[in-house]
Amino acid sequence: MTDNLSHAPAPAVTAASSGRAQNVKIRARGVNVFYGAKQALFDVDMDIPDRTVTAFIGPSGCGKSTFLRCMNRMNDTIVGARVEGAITMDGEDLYAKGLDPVLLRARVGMVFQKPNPFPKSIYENVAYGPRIHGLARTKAEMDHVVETALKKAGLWDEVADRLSHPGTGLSGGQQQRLVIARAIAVRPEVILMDEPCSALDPIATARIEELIDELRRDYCIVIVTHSMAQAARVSQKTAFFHMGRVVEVGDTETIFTNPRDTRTSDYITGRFG
Amino acid sequence: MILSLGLLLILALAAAGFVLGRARLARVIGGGGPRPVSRPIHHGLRVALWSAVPAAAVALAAALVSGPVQVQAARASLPAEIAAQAPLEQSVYVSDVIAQAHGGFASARIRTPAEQSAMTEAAQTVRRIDQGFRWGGLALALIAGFLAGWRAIVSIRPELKARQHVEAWIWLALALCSTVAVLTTVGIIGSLLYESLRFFRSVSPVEFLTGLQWSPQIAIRADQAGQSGAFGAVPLFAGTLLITVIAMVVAAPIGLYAAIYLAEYASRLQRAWIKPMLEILAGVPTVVYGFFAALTVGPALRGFFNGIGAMLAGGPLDALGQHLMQVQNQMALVAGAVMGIMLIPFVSSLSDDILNATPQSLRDGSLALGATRSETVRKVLLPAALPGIAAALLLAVSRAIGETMIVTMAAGLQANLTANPLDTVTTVTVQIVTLLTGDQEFNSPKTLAAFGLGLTLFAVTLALNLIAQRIVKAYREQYD
Ligand SMILES: Nc1ncnc2c1ncn2[C@@H]1O[C@H](COP(=O)(O)OP(=O)(O)O)[C@@H](O)[C@H]1O
Ligand SMILES: [Mg+2]
Repeated sequence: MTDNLSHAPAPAVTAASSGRAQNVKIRARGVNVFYGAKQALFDVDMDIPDRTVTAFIGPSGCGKSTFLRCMNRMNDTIVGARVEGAITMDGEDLYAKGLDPVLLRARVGMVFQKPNPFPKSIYENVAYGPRIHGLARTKAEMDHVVETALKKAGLWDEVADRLSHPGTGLSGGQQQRLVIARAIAVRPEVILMDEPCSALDPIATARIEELIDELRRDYCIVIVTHSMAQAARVSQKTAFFHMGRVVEVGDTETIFTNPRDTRTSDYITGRFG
Repeated sequence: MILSLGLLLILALAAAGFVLGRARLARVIGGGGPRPVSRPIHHGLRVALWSAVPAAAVALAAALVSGPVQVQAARASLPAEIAAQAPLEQSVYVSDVIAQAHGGFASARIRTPAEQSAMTEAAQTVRRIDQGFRWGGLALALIAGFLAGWRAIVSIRPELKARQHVEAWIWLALALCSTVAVLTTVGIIGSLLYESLRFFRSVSPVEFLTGLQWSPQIAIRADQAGQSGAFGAVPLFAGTLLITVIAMVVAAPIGLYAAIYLAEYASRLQRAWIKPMLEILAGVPTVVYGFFAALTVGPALRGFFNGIGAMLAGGPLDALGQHLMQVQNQMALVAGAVMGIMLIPFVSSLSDDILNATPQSLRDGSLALGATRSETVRKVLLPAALPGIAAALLLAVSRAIGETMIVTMAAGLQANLTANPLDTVTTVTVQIVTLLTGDQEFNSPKTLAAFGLGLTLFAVTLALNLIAQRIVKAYREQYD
């Protein structure tokens, strides 16, 4: 794995070269992804810093979700999907033979485009993960885990008095925060978000963006977004994807004010995509 | 012959109407004028329908009237000595006359020469009537079609809404078809209710629904009709329930696990093989399951239990051993188990559909939290699909209750009130079959009891199906 690193070409702009010294949480080198015979990602290199929000932008179908799913090995659940290359988290090979993807997914949480609470109570939604992974021994401990997660997700005040109500009865924005709480409850190190606000109204979106900004202190966050403005508001790093390749990675400010590649500037100024 | 000729002529009339209707429209708008509101094809179709439908209606009416008129003529020619006989003999004579007229099968009655010549004469009259109705009916039909078609042609104007006329005809045809379906259902329920009421006039419903003894055979004689104790249906309900429970104990877990495997674990290739195989199982006629139960499973299980009984007899478990040695081929277990096998594909295909209808986002959400597949199935998908699966099981129960062939062949005829699966029991459906097969008088309480049982069965399965449908509907709405 470390071998791979030394062979790999240096990414265009890495976290290290961007001036702010940050730990690299996830490192990808030479990642190719295939769906059957069709290649969706070409030779992707990227360093994703810890305790930072990294945004993936780019036109539809350019492989943002695909790359996101590489990091918690959700691609394994798709029939015919194949991942090549090297991805490490804290230096540990995520695709090593001995690594159980099920355990990995407890460390790398994921939030989807459409809020997907389970048809269970609010409490049970949050307790689901901790229960599976045995993170709480007693009812009191579980109560504490649930409360902490809901508080971190900024939902506690709204649902504290109706924890036994079905999670599906909440508004869309509340559901999305519930799902974030559900992910937080298993104490992940990384949270992946795939267009988490695209099904929400502007007010709910603003709440989630605030939340993301708070969560940045404790987690490494990667967010796919279709909204340039959102990427500019919540992220510190931005990666621009185009046709299965990463065209440009760098500080969000740089990408938006002074992109190196014309494709990036064309996309940002709305000339395509 | 005349039938195909008539059909051809009516079709030709319709075709001519179609062509003439279009031509007429072209003529009407020929000199410019307003644009027609309907297309030529609709004008053509309208005329075609207006000529074919009245013609077909007249022909049909003639055919329907012809039969009764023939019977009337034959009856009018009844010789005095036969008119003096019983109504049944008169009917036989009439049908013999009709048979002779049309070359059908006559009864084996010996006729005197005088009767025979009278019959021949009557048969000729009948044949003339028949021919008259055929040709006259066809002629009238063509005239009616022609006149109605002519009217339709003459009334063509540019502003005539021909398309709406055509659609009204189509609507009428569709409405007629659905009315037939609805009326049939209403008719069946009506006759079921009517005959049941007749039954309940001689046997009280309370006695029927709560009585513990079922022995309708002893109540055959009129003076015994309604004799108390003969029509208590509880043993039948209990037998039906016992067999249904056994069937569901077999079908529910196996069907459900098969569905879970198919929906969540099977690769596309495995699905492509397993699904059709389950469908083949679903396509096996129930009578085949019936003789499978009666000839294979029954003797095998009987041998098994008798063998165990022989081993136990004489030992500390002597009583149990003696009991097991008495086990017969016809036990509730055999009918129930085979019925359960029959229900497996039913349960599995319904549950498979329901599991497939659970949103993929639930699966992804659970897997992304680090749950395994089986945790996802047990803790997220099954609870989410539970209402639908409950409905599937209810539908299976309703089928088990109504299933007839397997129990007729593999369950017994004795109405035992027992919960022992090794005993012989009988079911509601088996009793309906035995009450109504063979030569039966149609108004003894014994035969009418079948309608009482049928009504009960109908009420229960209807209720189960309604509940299941409501659950499924509520479930669908949840994920829309
Ligand atoms: N499950 C899948 N099976 C086959 N092809 C897929 C699948 N998911 C994505 N793809 C293809 O991979 C490419 C990248 O898709 P995706 O990563 O979803 O793009 P994005 O999230 O940037 O819109 C697209 O061309 C898409 O059609
Ligand atoms: Mg996507």
